Amino acid sequence: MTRLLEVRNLTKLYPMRSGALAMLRGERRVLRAVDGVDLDLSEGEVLAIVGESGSGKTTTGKLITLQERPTGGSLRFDGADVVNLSGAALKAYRRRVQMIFQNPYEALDPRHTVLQSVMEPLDIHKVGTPASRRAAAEAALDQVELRPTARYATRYPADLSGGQLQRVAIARALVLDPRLLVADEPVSMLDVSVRAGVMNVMLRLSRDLGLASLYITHDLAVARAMSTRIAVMYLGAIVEQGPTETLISAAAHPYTRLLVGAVPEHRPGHRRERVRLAGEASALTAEPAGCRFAPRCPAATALCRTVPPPRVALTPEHWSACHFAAGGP
Amino acid sequence: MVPALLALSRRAAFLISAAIVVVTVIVAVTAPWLPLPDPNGMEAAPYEPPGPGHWLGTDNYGRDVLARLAWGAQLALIVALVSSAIASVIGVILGSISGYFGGTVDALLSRTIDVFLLIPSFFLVLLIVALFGSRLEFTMLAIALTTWPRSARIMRAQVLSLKSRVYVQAARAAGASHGRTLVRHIIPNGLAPIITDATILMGLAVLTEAGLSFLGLGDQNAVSWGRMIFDGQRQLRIAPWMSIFPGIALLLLVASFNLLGDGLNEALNPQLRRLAARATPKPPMPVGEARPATPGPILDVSNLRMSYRLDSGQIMAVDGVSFRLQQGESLGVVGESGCGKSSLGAAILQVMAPNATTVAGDVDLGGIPILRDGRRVVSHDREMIADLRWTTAAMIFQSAMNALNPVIPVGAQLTEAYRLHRPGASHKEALARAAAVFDLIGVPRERLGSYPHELSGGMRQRVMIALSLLHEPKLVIADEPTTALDVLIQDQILGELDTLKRQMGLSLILISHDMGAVAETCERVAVMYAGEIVEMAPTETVFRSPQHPYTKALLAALPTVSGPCRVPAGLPGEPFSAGETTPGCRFAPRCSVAQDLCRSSRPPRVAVGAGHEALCHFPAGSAA
Repeated sequence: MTRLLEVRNLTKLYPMRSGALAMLRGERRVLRAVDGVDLDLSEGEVLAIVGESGSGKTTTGKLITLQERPTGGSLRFDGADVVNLSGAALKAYRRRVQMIFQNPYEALDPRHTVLQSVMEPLDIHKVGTPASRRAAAEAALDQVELRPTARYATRYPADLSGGQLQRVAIARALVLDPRLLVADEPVSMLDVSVRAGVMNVMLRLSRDLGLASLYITHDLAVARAMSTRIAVMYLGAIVEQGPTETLISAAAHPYTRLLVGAVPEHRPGHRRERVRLAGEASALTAEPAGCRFAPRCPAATALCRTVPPPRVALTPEHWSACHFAAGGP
Repeated sequence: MVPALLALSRRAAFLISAAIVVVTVIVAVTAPWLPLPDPNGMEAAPYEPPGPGHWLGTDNYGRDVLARLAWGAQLALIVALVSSAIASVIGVILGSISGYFGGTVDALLSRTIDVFLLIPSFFLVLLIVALFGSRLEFTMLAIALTTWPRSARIMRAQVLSLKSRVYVQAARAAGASHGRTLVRHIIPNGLAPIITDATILMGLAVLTEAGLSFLGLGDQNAVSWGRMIFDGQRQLRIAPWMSIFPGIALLLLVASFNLLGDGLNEALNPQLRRLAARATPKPPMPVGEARPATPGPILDVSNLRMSYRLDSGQIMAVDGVSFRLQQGESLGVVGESGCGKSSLGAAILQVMAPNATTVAGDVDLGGIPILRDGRRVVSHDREMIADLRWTTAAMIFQSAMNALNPVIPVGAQLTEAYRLHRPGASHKEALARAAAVFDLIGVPRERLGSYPHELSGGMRQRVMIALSLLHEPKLVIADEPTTALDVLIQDQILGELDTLKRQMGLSLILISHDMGAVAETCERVAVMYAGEIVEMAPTETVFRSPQHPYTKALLAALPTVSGPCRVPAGLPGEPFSAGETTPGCRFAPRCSVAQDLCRSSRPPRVAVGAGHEALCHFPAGSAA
C-alpha cells in the first residue's frame, strides 16, 4: 500500500470577534479549530475521524479538500505538497479529491435533474464528449445502485428520498474517478433503515475501486462498520488513533472510553452506570496548559492540568495522548 | 372557515388580475386592427359624452377616448416591460456580484445601492428627462435607473443565503469556477422573488410614466394614459370622462400587476401555500355524552386516527393506533421518518399542526376522557385536554431547544409558564419551583438568569425538559429529545430522563428513530410503520426475539459497538407513503418473506407472547 495522504501538524485558527477594549489592548483572540493534526492515509484504506460537534473534524475535511486553507502545517498528496495550490493545479487536485456532504437534501441543485448533477463534474473538467459524459454519469448511477438508471436520470431532487439523494451525491463524487473521498457525516441525516444501504454502497465502492476514504462521523458505531482505522478528535486535536477494533475494545484515552460507553444500544442484561460529566466542551481560544480534556475528565490529576500529555504508543499502530494511557490512576 | 375563504378570495383576486393583464395585452397588441377610430384623428365633435357612437366619449379635440385608451395600453405595457426588465437585469447582476464576493466589493456596491435608495426616485427621473429630453427610451431608462436597487437588494439577500448551500459548496469543491457557480447554481435558484418583484416594478413603471406624462414630460407624440389624465383634468367639469376612464384603466392595471405579484409569490413559495392549508376539526363532544374513561392506566389510546390535509388530498398519518400505558411505565415509539410517530404524540395531546385533525379514536388521560371518536371532549365549553396539558401530561418537542424566547432569561420563561397554570402563585413560589426543576435535571441554579444563546444546545434541551416538568406531570411525551445533540450529551439527557422516571414515578413516551436510544430508557417498545404499530413488546423481547420482519430489519440495520462487528444490512425499497393504498400488508413490498397472502389481505394483530403483539400474517416467519 502506498501512502496517498500525509498530513502533518495541520492547524487552522479562526480570528474571533472580540470586544472593543480587547482590540485597543491589541489582544487578538483566535479559535483553535484544528490544532496540530497528523494523519496518514494509504490507498484503499478507510480512516474514520470521530468527534463531537466543535471537535474540528469537519474543518479537517475542508482543509484536506482545500475548501479552506490551513493556517499552518503541511498537506502532502501523492508525495507533493498541496497547501498552496492554485489555478489549474488546484482544479486538478479537486478532480482527484472528492467530497460528500452531510445534508443530502441540500447537496443537489433543486433545478437540475439527477443526470445533470452527476454529469456536472465532468462538464467542469471537460472530460470526454457530451455522449461519453452521459454514459459515465449513467454508469456512476448504476454503481450506487440507483437502478434502472434511466428512471432516476430525469428526476429532480425534490422527487427523491434522502437515501436516494445521498446515493446521487456519491455518484457525483465518483464520476471523476477520484483517488481520495472525504465523506462528512454522509449518513447522519438518514433513517436507520436507509443508512445501512448507503453505508453498504460506500463500503463496496471503496473495496472495488481501491479508493482511499476519510470518513468523518460523530457515531462510533458507524465508524466501526465503515473504517479500518479510527482517529478520535477532541477540541481540534487527535487524542487517540488506532485500528478500529482495538480502539473500541481497548480504548486507552478516557474520552474515547466515554464515547464508546455513550453509544446508545441494547446491551443485553447490562445496565451501565452513567458518569455525570463536568461541563461541556467549549471552544479552545488559547493553547491549553495541560491536557485539553482535563477539565471534563473523570480521572484527571494535577499533572493533567499542567503538562500536555505525550503520545503514548501502545502498539505500533495505536497511540493515545494521555498521561495514563499505559496504566495509572 | 375564515382562512379558507381568505385563500379563495386571494385566488379569485389572482385570477381577476391575471385576466385584466391578459386583456390589456390583447387590446394593446391588436389595437391597430380593432374597429376603432384613429386615436389621433379629430373627426368627431369635441366633448361628446359616452354614447353609442363613442362608447367612452371624445376629448377636447374630438378624439375617441376608447381608441386612445387602447393605444395608450401599448405604451403602458412597453414601459412596464422594458423598464422592469432593465431594472431586474441590473439588479440581478449587481446584487449577485455583491452578495457572492462579499468584502470590499459588497461594501462598495451596497453603499451605491443605499445612495440610489436615498434619492427620491421621481425627482431623479424628472432630472434625467429634463436633461436628456422626453423621448420614451430615456423615460424607460430613467425609470429603470431608479428602481434597480430594489431588485439588487433582494438578489443580494438571496445570494447570501444561497451561497452557503451545500450544492453550491459541492460545485466549488468539484472545481467549478466562480462564474459557473453563479450562473448555473446561484442565480437560477434565487430568481423567484425577483420575478415576483418585477410585476410590482411594472406597476411602479406604469405609474411613473403616467406621472411624467401628467407633468407634460412624457413623449409628446405618444398616446399615454398619464397624458390623457393631464389633458382631462382641465376639462373635469365639462368632460369628466376624459380623465376618469384613463384613471380607471391605470388603477386597474397597476393593481393587477401588484396582485399578480402576490399570487406569483404564493405560487412560487410552497411554504406560504402550506400555511394556507387547514383542516376542519370534528365538532366537540359534551362530557355527558362521552363514554366514561377506563380507570387504571395513565394513558389509554384506542383506535386513534389522525389525518393531514395537503394540496394533493388527505393522508392518514396515524391509522388505528391503540395502546395503554400504566403509571410509571415507559414506552419507546420507534420508526422511520414519516411513519407517524411524531403525529401520534401530537394527536394524543391535541397539539397538532393546523392542517391536521383526529378523525377517529378515543383517548383517556389519567382516567379522564379527552377524545371520543376523534372529537374533543368538552365540559362547560372548556376542552378537557386544555386543563390536563402541561399539568398531567407534558410534551418535549423535537428540536425544542430552538423554541425558547431568545430575549428573555430562561428562569423568567419558567416562572411565567408556572404562573400561567397557577394564577395565584407568587413570584417567589414560581422561582422556587423553577430552581427545583433545574436541580432535578442537573442544570446549575445560576443558569436561571442566562439567556438561551448563552447556553449550549444540550443545556437548552435540558431547560426544555425542566419546562415540561414544572407542574409535576404524570406523563411526559418526548419527541426526539436528543436528535440534534452529540452522543455524550444525548447519553446524559437520556440518563436524566431515566432517573426522573425512576425517582418520580413518571410515565414516559420516548419517540425516536433510534432503536438504541429507546433500548436503555424504555421498558416497552412500539414499532411503527406507515401509521400503524406493527409490533409492541417489552424491550428485552423486541431485541431478543422480534416477530415482525420490519422490526428485524430495523435491528439488522443498526451498527453497534458492542458484540462482534457486523456490516449493517440495508432495507430494500422506499417507505410506504401515506398517500398509497393497498389491500394487503403495507410492509409487503419491502418484506423479504412476503407471500401472496401478504399482498392481498390485511394482516391480523396477533398476540405472540406475554404483552407481545405483531401485525403480521406470519410472525417470525412461521409459514416460511
